[in-house]
Amino acid sequence: MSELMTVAAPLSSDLRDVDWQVVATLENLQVQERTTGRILDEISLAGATKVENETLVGLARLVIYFGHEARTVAYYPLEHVPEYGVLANALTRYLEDGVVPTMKPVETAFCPNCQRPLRHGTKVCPACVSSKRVLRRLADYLKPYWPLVTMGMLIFFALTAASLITPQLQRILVDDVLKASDANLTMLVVLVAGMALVRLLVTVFSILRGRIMVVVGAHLGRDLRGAVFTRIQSLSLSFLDKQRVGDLMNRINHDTRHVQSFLQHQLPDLVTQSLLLLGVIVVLLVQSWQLALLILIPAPFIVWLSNVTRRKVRRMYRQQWRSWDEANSVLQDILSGIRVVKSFGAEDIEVERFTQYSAHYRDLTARNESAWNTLYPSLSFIMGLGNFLILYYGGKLVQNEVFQMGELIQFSAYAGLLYGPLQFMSFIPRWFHHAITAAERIFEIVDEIPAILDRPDAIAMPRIEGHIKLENVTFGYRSHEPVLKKVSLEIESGEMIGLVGHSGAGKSTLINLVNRFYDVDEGSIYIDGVDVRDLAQGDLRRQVGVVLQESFLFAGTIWQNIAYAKPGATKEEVIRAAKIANAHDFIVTFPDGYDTRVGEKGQRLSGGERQRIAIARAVLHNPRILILDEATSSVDSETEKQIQEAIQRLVQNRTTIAIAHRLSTLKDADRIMVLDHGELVELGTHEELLGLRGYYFRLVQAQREMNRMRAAV
Amino acid sequence: MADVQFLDAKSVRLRTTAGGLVSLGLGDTFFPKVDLHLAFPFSDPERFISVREPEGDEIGLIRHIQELDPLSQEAVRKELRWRYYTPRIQRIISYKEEFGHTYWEVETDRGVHTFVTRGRDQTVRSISERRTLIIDVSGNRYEIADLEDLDVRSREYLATLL
Repeated sequence: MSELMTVAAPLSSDLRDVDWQVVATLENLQVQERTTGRILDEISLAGATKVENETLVGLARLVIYFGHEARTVAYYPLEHVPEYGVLANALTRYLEDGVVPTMKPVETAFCPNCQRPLRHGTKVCPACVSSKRVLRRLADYLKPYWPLVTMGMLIFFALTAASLITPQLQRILVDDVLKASDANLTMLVVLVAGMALVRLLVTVFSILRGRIMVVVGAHLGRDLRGAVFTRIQSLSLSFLDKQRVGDLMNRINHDTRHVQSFLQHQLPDLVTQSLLLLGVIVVLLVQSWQLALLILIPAPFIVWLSNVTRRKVRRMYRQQWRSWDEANSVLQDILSGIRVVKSFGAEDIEVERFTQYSAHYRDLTARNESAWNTLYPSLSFIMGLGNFLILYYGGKLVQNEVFQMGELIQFSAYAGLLYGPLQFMSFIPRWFHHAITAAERIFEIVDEIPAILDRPDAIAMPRIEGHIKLENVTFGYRSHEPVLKKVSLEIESGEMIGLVGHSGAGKSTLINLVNRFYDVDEGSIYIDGVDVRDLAQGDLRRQVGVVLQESFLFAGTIWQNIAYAKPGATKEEVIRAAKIANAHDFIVTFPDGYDTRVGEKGQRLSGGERQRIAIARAVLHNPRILILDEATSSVDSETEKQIQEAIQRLVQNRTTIAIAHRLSTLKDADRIMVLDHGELVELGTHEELLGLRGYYFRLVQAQREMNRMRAAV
Repeated sequence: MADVQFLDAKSVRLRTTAGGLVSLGLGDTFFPKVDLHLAFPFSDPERFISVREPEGDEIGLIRHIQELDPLSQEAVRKELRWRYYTPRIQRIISYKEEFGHTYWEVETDRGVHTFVTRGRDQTVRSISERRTLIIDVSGNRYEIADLEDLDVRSREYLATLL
């Protein structure tokens, strides 16, 4: 029998570290020694009913069930859970249905190349990024701005040349003018003017450089942000759901800013400083190679020393910062919980707690400040030692008349120019890497292909009737965890279906599939007899309306929020929709009426108000298929009545799937489907299901109990 | 329903099965597989052990492991060792930060291990003043039973994280 999968099994049952592996076929599971292939254990799948990855706290184990009997196959650290999860799922499907599994690739959180862990939601490994390739792509983005970039480059050269001239002029000033026996006023004026001119040029070039790079950087930043944002909008939910909102925000804002600031500040600095470094070294060597070596040889040491110091200082301050942060969170904790503190009379304990954190911060600060105040002057002293060397040897050269006075001054001026770029160079690898990784993360999104695309021959459906049919639908967000299992169901056009089940039963998932936010793994969904995968997505979305549990209102006015459903809607249409949704009356009594601002910075609306605005939005949208995710939030009975009324008006003449919590909504439904652990367990009218005395009956009982309790309070 | 059900230690027979799992005999009832959870895994690892049906209801709580018969005790200890498997760090051999991840090489009571942690928050958790838990990117746990037992270099590594 061919091998299905081989997975590492690094722990024995007595928890020793071992080098074993589990080899799975459709007939048995073998535990082998990895290097020799010696079989340590063999479990036949005959009679097995289920294979499960059981994740414990510090490790996980693979358990195989033979009816009620169960046995452990292997123990493994948690990084192996995805592989074992896929294996367990495939084998269970095989045991239950006899389906020979096609192994899906395991989603891994580690770089396939170097095994370093990856950040959430990205496959870019910072260590394996090919910087050449990324730089070439970045260069593509720079192309439109090449005249500016070329100009910038020329300015860099000019700037370096100008910086290198000044010490030359200083030398001439000292040797040929100041030391000369006859006072040459013209020469003095010319030289001073020359130095001033160079200074002026440096200033002008710096300004130009700054301005050019800002323009290029800002444009590039905008281009990159635009590219990422456009792509994100076109990607399917299956991709976006795997990302955290914060991660996406980071890529749009943070990563592009990284790249922008690299191109705008660090890259120009890098070019100028490298040119300067090169120039200075050449000049120094030409002038006196012995003296130059004297300066250059200790240079690496000094760079190293300042690096070490910087790292130490950073560590010190990081600790201090953390301690500050901790003290702050304690403070925030206490202050926001002040009512609890007071009601338990725990003021003294809290004062004590805060004082402790505060004292810790004080100690750290004192220690760090004294360390810093010792370290910094010492470092400056050591760095300054080189000057004395130059002064001594240079002085000797002057005494021996090998060197002119001015030459010595010029030399030490150049030496002074050396350390800036040297120290700068030590920052470069980090900056460079940050920017490259950020750029790669941007490109990762830009390159992502939407998982759900219209077929080239997608069927247009300008008017959907609303007949929905699910046929053996199986689906899971992750390959080894099916959320819906073989769900089949037919919904007539205009019918209202109530969807109930515990949280996690698959209710929202079912709705995501009808909307084709995801494609099913197995089975099909038909709308008016057409597989949703063959339907033009635009037509589908336009005619499926959603009123979500968390009625999301954008920052803007109420008017804008309702009209969002139908671009170009007239005010009259909006008012009509609001009236149907029982929202009009409370909206007009607001001081700003429909112009009331809502969202983050706007007026706070109650849950009931937000919901009715969302209903108004759906009314205006006028979808053929309505999806209702009813809120669980408790509202007073008057509001409840208003919402209920609004919903009743909304569902008329459309196919409705309602995730319902309220009994009143359920009673209105034509039929009710009950989901449990991804399976359709009951389907029928309210009365029929009550008669079954099964899941639905118990749910309703629990509801009644709750209502009774709430009424009693 | 809402009251805590403590199991009568005399009628509890917890056994390690041939398959390396735990079964429970409780009077006349037999559960072929039960899960054991500690209510206070850090502060009280011998008491308040929750015995549960897999993915289901709590059968009851055991007040103290020592109330049980020796075979049950052995089965419980064995299962808890699996569930709360946590190598103890004795020495930090090396420690390197790179790209927002920290790469550790440590000597533990189970030999030399290498692992990776992400960021700073949530990876190093103080359980008490001297006891520390480190959680790697996959969720594996490492424990430092007593910070004072570590050598100076190891403690210096940790100082920035604590």
